[in-house]
Amino acid sequence: MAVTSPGKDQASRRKLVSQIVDTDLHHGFEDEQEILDHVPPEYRERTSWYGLPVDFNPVQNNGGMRGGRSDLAFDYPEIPVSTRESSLRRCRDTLLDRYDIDLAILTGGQMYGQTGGMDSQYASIMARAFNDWTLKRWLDEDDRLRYAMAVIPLDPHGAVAEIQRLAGDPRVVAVHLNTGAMRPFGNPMYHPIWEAAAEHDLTLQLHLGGEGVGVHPPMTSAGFPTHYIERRMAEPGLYLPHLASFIFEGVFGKYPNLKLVLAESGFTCLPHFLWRMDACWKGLRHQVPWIKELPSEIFYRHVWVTTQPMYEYNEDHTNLMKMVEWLRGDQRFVYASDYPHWDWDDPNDAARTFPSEMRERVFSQNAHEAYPRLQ
Amino acid sequence: MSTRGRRAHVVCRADELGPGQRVIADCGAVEVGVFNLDGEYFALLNRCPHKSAPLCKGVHRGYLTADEPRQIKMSASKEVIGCPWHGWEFEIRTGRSYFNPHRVRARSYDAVRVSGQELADEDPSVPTFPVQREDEYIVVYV
Repeated sequence: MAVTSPGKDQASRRKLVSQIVDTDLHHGFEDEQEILDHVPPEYRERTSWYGLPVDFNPVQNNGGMRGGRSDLAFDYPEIPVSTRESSLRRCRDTLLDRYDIDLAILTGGQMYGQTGGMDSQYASIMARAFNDWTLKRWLDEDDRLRYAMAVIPLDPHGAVAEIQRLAGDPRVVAVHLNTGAMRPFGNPMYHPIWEAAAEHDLTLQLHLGGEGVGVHPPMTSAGFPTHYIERRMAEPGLYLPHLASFIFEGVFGKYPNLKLVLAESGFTCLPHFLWRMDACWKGLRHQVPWIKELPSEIFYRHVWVTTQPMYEYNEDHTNLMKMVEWLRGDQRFVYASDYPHWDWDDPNDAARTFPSEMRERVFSQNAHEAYPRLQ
Repeated sequence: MSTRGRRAHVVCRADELGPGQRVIADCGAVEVGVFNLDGEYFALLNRCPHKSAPLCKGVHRGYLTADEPRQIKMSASKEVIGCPWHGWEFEIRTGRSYFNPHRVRARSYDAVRVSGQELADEDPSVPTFPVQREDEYIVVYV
């Protein structure tokens, strides 16, 4: 007869590491009304009448089921499935308890579109409401959860104020950024935000999203592609301009304790990028003379990258491991599930991808270095 | 009714699995997804060969093809299950993957519709299940 989740073929896997820190768990609300209580009264009419432009996906397509895992819909037919987990109960059943996750950093999803909102100050009000709602409805309910707080980089004053407002909460460990932007993030217009983050040891977490939404330019410099798979192929190009900008604008020299995590960028695009930066720096250094060492060395001190997505390997595992070695993955990788997305990475499967001597670093030690507030 | 050394498991009453529907069944050591495709029954192991995800809880859709860009057609006979994790497609009737049909396959099993009369009279090997002679049942051989 029909059986219930999670199913004997997938359940009860032995934890392969002593601690699991999941650095990318997307959470969100089921009903927009929930967030209204957290919106200041003077903005409620606007929010309730016009809604939250929560969607960060102008492609109007995704993989899986609305971007989420269809097995979650199968096992929990009463709870909608999308790119955001709206149910802490289901999240516990299918991720936190099931895999014995020790710490997980919530990365949201419903404010991604707001980063491109025309009225950046209003977007900041929405981000603040989402932060308050998250602290109350998720972090207060489960002590394994930590938070990458939402800010609106196009409203630097608002972003700084929000960082100062929440910095006293030790559960807030990072500032969440989306790749969609008007200018790459090394631009001096953003420096007050990075200064505030550095002041409080808050890590910058850069995640795709927001590109092509509102005032943001399309996701490729050739404009909008037609299909989701084309947009997906553009993903390295969402992150790498920001990374080059952070490095060559001298952000990490200005804020020496600032740390950056590239979440969901994929890591196989990075070795080539580091070689290219180093090679180009040798001939162009005179244009950015404040960069006094190989750019890759700045990367290796300040930047970490999530393990997910790991789909980019062929049957010869040695090829993947060469990339891991080139990237010093034993030092730079942090585990991320990307739950509840259709292309998530099961922690035990991810653990088996790496040699046993790397696992403790990838699953917890590197995360503690990348997020100094994490405890 | 034990075929090729496999053991018969009664999955459900036939009227509980209508056309287009599926059921995940506990068949002893394994879980199996049984699909009703227009009155024919097909069973796949509920485990994807890629990352061991619960394959049969994936997206069930028609097999889409196109000879020219944008001229998408849905096959009248083939139906696929798209795995809930990472989306690999497998043909439900055969378990073959789209991208490498000979080497990457979901394990498939025989599934048939039989009468309660047959089950009661002819097959003592079928595990205990409250079978009524007048009803019909879906049996999978694992």
